[in-house]
Amino acid sequence: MDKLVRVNMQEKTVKIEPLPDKYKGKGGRWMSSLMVSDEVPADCHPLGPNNKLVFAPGFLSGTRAPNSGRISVGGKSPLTGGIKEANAGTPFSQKLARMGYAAIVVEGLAGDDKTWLLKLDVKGGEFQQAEDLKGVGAYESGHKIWEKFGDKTAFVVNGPAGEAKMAMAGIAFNDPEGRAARYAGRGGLGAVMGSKGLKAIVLDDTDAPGVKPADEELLRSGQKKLADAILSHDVTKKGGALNSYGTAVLINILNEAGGLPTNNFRSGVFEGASKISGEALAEAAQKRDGGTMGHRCHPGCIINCSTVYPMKDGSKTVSSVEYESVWSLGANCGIDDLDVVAELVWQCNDLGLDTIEAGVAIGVAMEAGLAKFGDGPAAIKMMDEIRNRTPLGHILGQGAQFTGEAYGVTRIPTVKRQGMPAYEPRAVKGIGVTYATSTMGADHTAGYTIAPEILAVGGNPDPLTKKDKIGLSKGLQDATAFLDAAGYCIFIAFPILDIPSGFEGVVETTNGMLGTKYTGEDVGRIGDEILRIERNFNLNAGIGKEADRLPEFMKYEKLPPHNQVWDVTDAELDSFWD
Amino acid sequence: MIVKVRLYATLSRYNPEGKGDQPFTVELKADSIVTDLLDQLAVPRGEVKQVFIRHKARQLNYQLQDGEQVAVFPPVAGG
Repeated sequence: MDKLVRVNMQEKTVKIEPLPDKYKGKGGRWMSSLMVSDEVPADCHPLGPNNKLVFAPGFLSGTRAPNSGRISVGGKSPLTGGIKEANAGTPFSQKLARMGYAAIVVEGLAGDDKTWLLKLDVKGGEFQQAEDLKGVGAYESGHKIWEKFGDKTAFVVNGPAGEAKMAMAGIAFNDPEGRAARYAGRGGLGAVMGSKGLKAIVLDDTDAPGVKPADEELLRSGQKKLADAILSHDVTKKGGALNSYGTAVLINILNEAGGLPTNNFRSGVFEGASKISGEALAEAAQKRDGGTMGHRCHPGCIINCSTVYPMKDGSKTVSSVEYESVWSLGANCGIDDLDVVAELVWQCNDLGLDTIEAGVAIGVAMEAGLAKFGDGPAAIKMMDEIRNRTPLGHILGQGAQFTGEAYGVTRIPTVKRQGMPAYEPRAVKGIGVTYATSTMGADHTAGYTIAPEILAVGGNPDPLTKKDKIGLSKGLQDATAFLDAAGYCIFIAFPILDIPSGFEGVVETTNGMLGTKYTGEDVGRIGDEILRIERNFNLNAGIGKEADRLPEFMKYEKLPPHNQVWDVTDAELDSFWD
Repeated sequence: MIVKVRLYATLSRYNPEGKGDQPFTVELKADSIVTDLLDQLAVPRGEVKQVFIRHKARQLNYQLQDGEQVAVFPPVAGG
């Protein structure tokens, strides 16, 4: 991975450049955030000519390290106005790394109202006009790409919402079966891709040189330690909860803990939880034709938490039906019919929408009285509004904050204008700290305190107390930023938090690949360095500590069943960066 | 006393009524604790990670009250 692909949309040029020394040994989020910080003016318009879109495979992507096939996408977010990195697990990441490309940087705007596809191989890249993909759903676009370029290629594709420059548009990568279903979902990077006139990038990795580890033996040793930890830990092993029920196995436990946001964050308990749980999903997948539990998002994943959900009427399958999506489009909208939820997930994936932001925006629209909570057909109709680009569709498409502002709603569950994920911060205080302080806006993956607070992994603190939660969130945010740089799936955090040899495996695979002599302490140090790069970008974009706050209504509205308010003070939140 | 029980995820196979994670009632002698309940249901303790009662995680020596609802989980995770 010693090359950089620089793509200029205005000039339609593709240059393969040597990777500058500064970026060597970086990868994933480290690479994308550093490059955005270096090359994108913080005060630029996210959809204007000065924003860039960076695709960077993790520095371990393309190796045989387990669960290392994640790619980071970076740019200035049209949703938050700050820096954004969103990542996805996909064969695209592994192929890009094996082709020797440490990053693709897309600059400028095509500005010609045409639809462009970039074909990339080891020799270089070429632009092709792709008018047949204009306005076409992500799923169908993916099928057409494989029909034309073959099923050995990998692709990233933008959906119609991204083409329409909607701020809740994500970017879809292919899964191993060619579905455009693995999303770098959050923060509206699809709108950035749409603004540039770029519909897709296709990778042909014929004659790819592969990755060259500095120390093969050390890499192999670390790989084995990590794999052993993953396959022996109760939540990530074969037949364990993630593998058997998918991520939606969390629905019931969050509900029992009183932390499952329901009806636009009005309660922490949802009466219909068990109807949309991982258990219900697995039952449907087993009973109906075409369902799969234990699906993998990329080769080399040994957890296999992805799912393929068959609709009751046999009309289609939906992949992947995840906890976050089931919550946002289910419990958060009061919808307890898994087939309706799956249809909404399919619509989001096809339109190219972040399922979290879409569900939070619909919940806010329901709060505004546009539909009743629990009205599935009305939610599906809102998807039609987005697809048809009606005025309401464009309002919803700009995300939860914009929707709430358009209708005078005071209860808008966002931080830095990004919709909150599936955990109630009033019932789980540590995750509220992560939502408030993350450079990304409300984001659960940034520092997943749910692991200790609710799941009793890596500790067992009381979720209802704020004591020590600043430090807990900071430690996890540092570690996560490192995993995002490596290209590791954050679910390896569950085994490595509990099994020391698994964590050694992470350090050894890193050193084996990069030839570094990092220790365990460097993991946190590097993570902190990445966070501060992002923080500085945000400060320069005018997003300071005043934005590290939860919405006001959570400070005065008691959340049932615990009747808790958000009680972490501004001064406590500000201490996060000390 | 009588408690209402839900066994989630991989523990649902111990549901005496064979109805997965659906709730069922169990009659226990007075002063029973959570482990008494698990033993009565033949749920191996090694498979139990979390027990929630009234929306809070409880210890295995928690003394059950008549009419309480007990939710039992194996190790689970997601995100």
